Amino acid sequence: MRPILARIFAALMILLALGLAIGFALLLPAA
Amino acid sequence: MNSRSDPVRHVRPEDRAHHVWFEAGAWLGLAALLLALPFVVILAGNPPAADSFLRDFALGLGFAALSLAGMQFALTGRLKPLLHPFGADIVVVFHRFLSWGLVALMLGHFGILYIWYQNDLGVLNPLEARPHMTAGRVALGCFVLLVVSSEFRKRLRLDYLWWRRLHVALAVSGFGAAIWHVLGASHFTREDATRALWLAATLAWLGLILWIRVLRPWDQWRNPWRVTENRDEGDGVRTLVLAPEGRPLHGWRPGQFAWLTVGTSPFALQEHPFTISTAPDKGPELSFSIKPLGDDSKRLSNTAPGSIAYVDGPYGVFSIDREADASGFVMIAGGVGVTPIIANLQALEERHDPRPVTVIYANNTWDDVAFRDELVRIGRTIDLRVIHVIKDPPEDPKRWPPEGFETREGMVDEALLAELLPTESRDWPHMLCGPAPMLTAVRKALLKLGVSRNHIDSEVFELV
Repeated sequence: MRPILARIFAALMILLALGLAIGFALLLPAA
Repeated sequence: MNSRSDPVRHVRPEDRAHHVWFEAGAWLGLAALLLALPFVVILAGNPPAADSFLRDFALGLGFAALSLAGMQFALTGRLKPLLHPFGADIVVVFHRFLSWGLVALMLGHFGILYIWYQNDLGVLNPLEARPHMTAGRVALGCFVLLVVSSEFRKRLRLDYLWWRRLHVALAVSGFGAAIWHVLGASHFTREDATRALWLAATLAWLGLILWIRVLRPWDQWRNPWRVTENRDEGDGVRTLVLAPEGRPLHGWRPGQFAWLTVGTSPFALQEHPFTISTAPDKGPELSFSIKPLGDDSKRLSNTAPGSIAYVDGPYGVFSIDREADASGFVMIAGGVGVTPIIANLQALEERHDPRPVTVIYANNTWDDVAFRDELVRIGRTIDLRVIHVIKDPPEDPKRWPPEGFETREGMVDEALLAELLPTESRDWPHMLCGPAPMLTAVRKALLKLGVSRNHIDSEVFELV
């Protein structure tokens, strides 16, 4: 596999992490 | 074509391209699930009510960063099923970029709370602060140090061995401190299910470390090898021959490498990767051809027969046996990167493979060229063309150009490749092995010549 794919996979994981953190903050029940 | 020379016979089903991509996809999917799991468990339970978006987002960043940090241990643990679809060098690159990202997430987690929610953080003085908050800051420091010491290892003049020891120590203490921090802060971890998840994750992580750092070295220690021969191959190359005193190695592919420990115990983190130069069907003795360039390869090349050695392998995906449908090969090596290429050529020779191979082999000087005679010898059996590209050739007209060798002066660039590679080779696999800057330049040149990305395969030497 090409090294660029490793960077793309890593970037996707970080984006997913950001997305999950945003989703988490939005989905917490309101007080 | 008789069955002996049928190349497809040597390709294992799991090495076929569609299988490799399926495996890669499955691992990435599993990683995404593991990343999402803490959020799902918290949200599915009875979570505390939402605070401000920014604060909850910052806490979310912390959970995500910790999950990614846990995965890093699996990435560097040399787990064969994980390495199989990607290759060890790609997994290391992934590990490195993921580290940058996760440290950014951690800094985001800390930064947002530090700027806008200082009350949550409490005092910074470790003597007065709540211990789990200090643990969080220790974890952040460890992870920042991990990235800095790895990115700037050479500039910091950090010896490789000490860097590895520091890396393991910082990673284990950083992750341990981070777990303490999460369980201590307990804002979202009060629920039984969440605590159970973190406990399970911690136990899995401890199990992984136990396997990688204790059980696997222990298994190697119980299955030692003995150096039976240390012979001079000419051109400054020495070959170590090892005989198993315990379980022998099975099933390696040509071009694969193993981690070799000589003179110390397998627990000492002193192993180094070397290409296995024994043909895959031969054995149980293993040989490793070593060109002594660094301190450790010099030490290993001086190993006395009778010494005990430990072998961890096989690893690596830089193999002709991953290329089922190739009708020929282009192999481009820089310096010591030639060793897996030699192993692949020896396998082609062993099998009397009729496919044509062009090897372009770059070195700084003519004296640096290893395996000069071995390449000539292999060329007597298979359809092999070798071109030596020398950056600074000898000025002595008696020595340059050398008789009986095809040579060029300069570097491997687009013009040279266009001249040397026949048009029909565009669809062959191009196997590149050498230092990273050379691989980048050669890859660009090949793409310009019209070689498809799918036909360029590389193994990077010198990753840290």
